[in-house]
This record gives sequence, structure tokens and C-alpha cells, in this order.
Amino acid sequence: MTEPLADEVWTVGQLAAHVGETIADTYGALWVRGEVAEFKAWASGHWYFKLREGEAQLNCVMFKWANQRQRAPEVGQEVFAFVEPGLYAPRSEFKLTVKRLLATADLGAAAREKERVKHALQRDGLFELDRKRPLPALARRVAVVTSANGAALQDIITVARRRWPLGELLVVPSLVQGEGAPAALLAALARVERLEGLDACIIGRGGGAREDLAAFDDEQVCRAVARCPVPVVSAVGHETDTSFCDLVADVRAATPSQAAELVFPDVAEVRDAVRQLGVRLRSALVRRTGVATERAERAGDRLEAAMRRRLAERRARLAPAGARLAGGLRQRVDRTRRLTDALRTRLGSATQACVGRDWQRHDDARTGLETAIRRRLARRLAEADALGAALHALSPLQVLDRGFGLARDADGRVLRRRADFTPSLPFTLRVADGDVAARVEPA
Amino acid sequence: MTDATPPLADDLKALELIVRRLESEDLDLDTALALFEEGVQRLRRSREQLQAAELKVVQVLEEADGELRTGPLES
Repeated sequence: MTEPLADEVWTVGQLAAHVGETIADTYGALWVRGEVAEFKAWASGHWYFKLREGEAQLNCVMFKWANQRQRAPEVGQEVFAFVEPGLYAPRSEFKLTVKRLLATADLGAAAREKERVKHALQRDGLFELDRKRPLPALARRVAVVTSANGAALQDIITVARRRWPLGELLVVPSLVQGEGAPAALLAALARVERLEGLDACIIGRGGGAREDLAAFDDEQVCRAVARCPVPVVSAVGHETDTSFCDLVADVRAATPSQAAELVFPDVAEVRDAVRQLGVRLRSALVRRTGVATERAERAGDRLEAAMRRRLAERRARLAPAGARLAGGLRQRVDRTRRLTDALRTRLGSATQACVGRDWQRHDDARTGLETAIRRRLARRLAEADALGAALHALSPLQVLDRGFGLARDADGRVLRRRADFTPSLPFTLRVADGDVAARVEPA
Repeated sequence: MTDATPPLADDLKALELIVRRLESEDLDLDTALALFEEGVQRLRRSREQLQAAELKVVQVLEEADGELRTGPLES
């Protein structure tokens, strides 16, 4: 045994809190079934009792605010209790806080079954929010599981027709109430699973008496809904009714009409979005060609500036050399006065001619470069212009509508000049409403 | 709408990407032009799809042999 290290020692409070959290995290809230024992209702209004099964028993508390609306259970009575297990540290006690208490005998067979189904679905995580799938943005094929002649179907069709005429509704008819309804819904859902290219499924029915909606609480129906390969929207009854099917489905709609609204986008909104994309597409390209032109111009400017700089440097280098040359000549002339004027003149003019030739060469070079740059720049700009023109021609609503045509060869190259139209060349002429096949006359 | 037509959703998604690339990326003219052409095509196809449409409603029935068949809705 080692000595306890100060920082490894837990305080009682820490341990109690940790155990409490562990219990709460592990169990959450759940249903437990057992026999009531040692029941005590305190003056405070809280109930304290035990739930027992054979030798096992668990302490329970049901607070005043939870038990207000019900009769106290009798000792020995079998109950379902919806509880939150936890640790009550002041008494070092594992305790169940009871939220709901139902005597098993009080429950009708149907209600018991419903509790059982709810418990089973809950246990398998089918109500969990994190398994819910989002609906597709633009649904095309949507299955509808409902009665073929109910108001629900008519509501769904009406809404779908108004919002999203691009859609396709695959009605999978089913009984939705009565004894055969769960089996019919199961068969319909099995058919939905076999449909191809489906984007979503709507299941539901219009409002009715609570018993009429019972098929949508059926465990197998709910499991089939959860299994459905595409997202399911459930719309059962009125807004105030909630079926297990609603809870299991990916999306719950208050009514069948609302289900259709959730599944189908509004065509007007989508058209508007497309329009916006068109505007953005066009302006992005206009900006892009503008940038390219500007860049070509800038590159030309830079090139020109660089050439000017070089010329200036050369001139600067040549100037002192010229001066030195002239100075040297003068000295020589001074020293050799015996030389004839003619010789001096010839020498002077020869020097001048020599220097002049040199200058001329540089000037020529400079002019040639500048011309070449200008030519290139002009070509680049013309290219950009041609591209811009081609783009506008491509835009179906603009130039073509005014009666212009765009000719392209088989490879899609735009034919711009007479030379492009070689004899017998097949080409396509695009006009406002489509393409026309054409051919250049043979030579 | 035939199955050969790419779904509208695909066209719109691709279109959105094209527009974003044109708006944000530093593209050379050829690439920009090619993207624009593709964008125009998708735009036109989207418009066509959004125009000529009427909601299709059919009924799914199961034949005796277990085959699924679609037919007009009888109500």
C-alpha cells in the first residue's frame, strides 16, 4: 500500500457529485415496472415509497408537483413508473425520482400497448433527433402513403401543383384506419422501399377521432417508417395530435398540406435564384475579361517603361564616351597644328558620321521595340474584344435575339473571318432559338 | 422530364460553383470562357426545366406477380 497523494484524494462531495452525474448520464429517464411498498404521503405533499420485485427494491420519491393529479397508489399494487434514477447524497441513497406513475391494472389494453410501444421505440433510439435526415433541397419524386380518396391526398396534390410543378407524386394507396390499417400501411411502406429514384416520402392522413389514428402508433408501422430509405415526413391528424409515427419520422408536419410545403420548394423562389445566378455569371465574366484586358495593358506599359529605361542608360553611357572622344581629338589637333584644315575637317566629319550612325542604330532599335510592343498589345486587346464578343453571342437572350448569328465549326470554334470559311466547310449557325446546320459553298 | 436530363439540383449546384469560381479565382481567359460556357448551358437547362412543367401524379399498384406498376390516379 502506498501513501495517499494529496492530489489523488477525492472529497466526499466530489465523489458523490461524480457518482450522481454518472447515474444520470447512464440512465436518463426510463420506465420501470414494480410493486409499491412502504408508501408514505408526507404533509409536504411529497410521496415516498419503494418499488419492489422479489428481493430487489428501490427507493422512490414522487414530488408534490408530479403527483398532484392522481390518486395515491395502494401498497402491493403493480405500477409502471417513469423515473429518473439518481443519488441522494445527504442520505447516501440511490433513489428514483418518479415523474409519472400508472397502475398497470388501470391501463386499458390499448393504452398499455401504447406505453409498451413507446418504451420499445424509445429504447431503440427511434425518437432520437440525431437520426433525423434532412429533406432534399429540390425533391423530384415523392411517394405519398395515404388513403387514395382522402382529403389529405387532395391537399397534398394541390400544394405540390402550386409550389413545385416539376415534381412527381407517386401515390401509394393504403387503408389508414380500422383493423386492417397497420398491415396495409406496412405493405405500402414496403412498396415505397422498392420505388426507384425517390427523394422523399410523405405518410399521413387527415384529422379524425383519436382511435382512428391508432394505426400510426403501431410499432411495426413506426419501425418501417424509421427504416424507409428516403427521408419521411409524417402528417397524422390535426396539429394537436401526435402519433409515434410523427415522432419516428424525419420531419413532423402539422397537416398534410404542410407536409407538401415542407417537401416541395417554391418554384418562384427557385426561378428567382436561377435568375440571380445568371446575373452573377454574366457580371463575373465581364469583370474577368476586364481584368485580363487591363492586365495586358499593364504588362505592355511595364515593357515599354523597361525599354525606355534601358535606352536612357545606354545614352547616358554613350554621352561621356562621345565627350572624351571629342576632347581627345581637340588635344590631338592642338598638338598637331601642322595637320591641314582639310584633314581636320575630314576627321571631324568622319567622327560625326560614326557617332551619328551609332545614334541612328539605337533610335531604330527603340522605335522597332516600341512598335512591336504596341502591335502585341493591340493583338491582345483585339483578342480580348473578340472573346467578349463571342461571350455575348453565347448569351442566348442578348445578341442572338436581335438577329445576329454565331457560326462555329464542328469543334465548336467560332468562325470569325472570311478565311475561316474554307470551301465546303460544314458549320453550325446559332440563332436566337437554336442551331442551324450549314455548309460553305464549294469552291 | 426524362431521366437523361441531369437533375435540376445538380445543375444549380454546379452553376453556383462556376459563379463562385469566376467571382473569386484568378483564372486565365480560356478557363474563364470555358466555365462561362458551361454556366450558360446549365443556366439554360435550368430555365427550361423550371418552365415547361406540370405536376405528375401517378398511383403505384402491385400486380398479382408482385411487380409494381404505375397508372393514373383513380379517386
